[in-house]
Amino acid sequence: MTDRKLKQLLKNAYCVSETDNGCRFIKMHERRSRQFCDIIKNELRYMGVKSIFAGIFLCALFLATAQKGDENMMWIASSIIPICSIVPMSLIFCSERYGMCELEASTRFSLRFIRIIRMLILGIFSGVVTICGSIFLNSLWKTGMIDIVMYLLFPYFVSVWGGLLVARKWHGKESVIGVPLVCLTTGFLPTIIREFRQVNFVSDSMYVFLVVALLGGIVNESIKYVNERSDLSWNLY
Amino acid sequence: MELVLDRVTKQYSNKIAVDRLSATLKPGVIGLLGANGAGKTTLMRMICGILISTSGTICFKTENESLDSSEEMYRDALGYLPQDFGYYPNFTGKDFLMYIAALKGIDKATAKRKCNELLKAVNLETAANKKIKTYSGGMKQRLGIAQAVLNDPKILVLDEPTAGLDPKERVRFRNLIAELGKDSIVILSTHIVSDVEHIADRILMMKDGQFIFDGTLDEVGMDLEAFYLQNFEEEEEETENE
Repeated sequence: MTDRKLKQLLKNAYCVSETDNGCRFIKMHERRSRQFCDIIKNELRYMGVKSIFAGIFLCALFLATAQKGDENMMWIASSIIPICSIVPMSLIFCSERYGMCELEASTRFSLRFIRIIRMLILGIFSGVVTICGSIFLNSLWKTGMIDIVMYLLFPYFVSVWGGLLVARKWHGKESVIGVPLVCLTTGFLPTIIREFRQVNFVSDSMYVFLVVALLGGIVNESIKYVNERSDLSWNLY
Repeated sequence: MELVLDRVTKQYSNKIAVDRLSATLKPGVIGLLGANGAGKTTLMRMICGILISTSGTICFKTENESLDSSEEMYRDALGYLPQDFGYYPNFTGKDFLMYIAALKGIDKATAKRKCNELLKAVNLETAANKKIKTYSGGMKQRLGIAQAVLNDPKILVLDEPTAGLDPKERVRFRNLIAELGKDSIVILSTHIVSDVEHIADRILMMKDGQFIFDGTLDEVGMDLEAFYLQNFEEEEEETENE
């Protein structure tokens, strides 16, 4: 008798007994450990590769127009930059946009945690792009860092701070309209800066203090946004 | 294992949505019935931790007292299907379940296996790799049910789970819930009395934020739908008299 036939006969002869609470046993020993970095990788993936590339494209477009370095181009670039902030802002608020808040709020790694992760990822990404962009443009334009702060950082931070404030105050899907509106409106800010500069209304160095204050405002609004919108509180004992 | 609600209240500026509710919920299927605006969804959101109660406590007691009682551990034991839920537009059915599995802390290998099992169980196997925006209402609902049971929850909260399901799917769903109710606390809120009638071990009826009935089907003493309508008609009469 060949081994194959013997195996077949044994298979037919031997009846596997029914498991006793087999599923329960498996459930007891299932691994349940999704690491922190897995969640970050997950968020990076699901934040939308298209959105991130759109943001990079906008930045590249802006840098291309800023190549010339004269004041007109600087003013144009300054008007475009608040619009660039629509992309990261829309990524932060995508749970509200697509009605996923309720589901995400009830999971183990809750909505609050997801928001913090998203803000950290986008904050780091924006920070790196802003710093590198500022240094690069400073070398191109040769106008000094004050001009960079005034024309780039100030409108950008105003649009981010305004967007976060609107998102916190306007609940639900209305914030989806409000945030891009704030970003688009901030695009007119460089015109105002230009006019103020002509009449010497605000000193150039004042913008540095305003940018620092706006940074503080952005951090404050971020904390308020994370805490206010995800009200989770438990009484457990 | 039990979920204890102790004088849970939710008050908004001009309305008390949930008014000092107390109940001890044990493993089994608990049917939550009530008219629109009775406070069912508010109660369910408080149980799931999406809303903070104005006062009162919600306490989950398990056999394993040494488990660290924390928000995260509670949500780990929770499964929730909201009345309305959205989805990220580029997700397929499988992507959606894998995303929720990651948020529920399920490791990748287990998540893959469970997703395949659940997609089969809710009859979405063939549509797993299609985008959710192409799904019908019933398919989305079935996907919602699948995500709720991904982590084998000890507390399963279902808000109008059979909305949009055809009769065949509804029967399939009832069997699934009856099976889950053996080991877990399943809270099922619905307007479809027949769903509750067939599988609920306990009936809770809500009106104006309070429980007006808490008992078994036998204690109702009559047809459940007739009993429910009787209470609803009493509410209509009260409204007319006002």
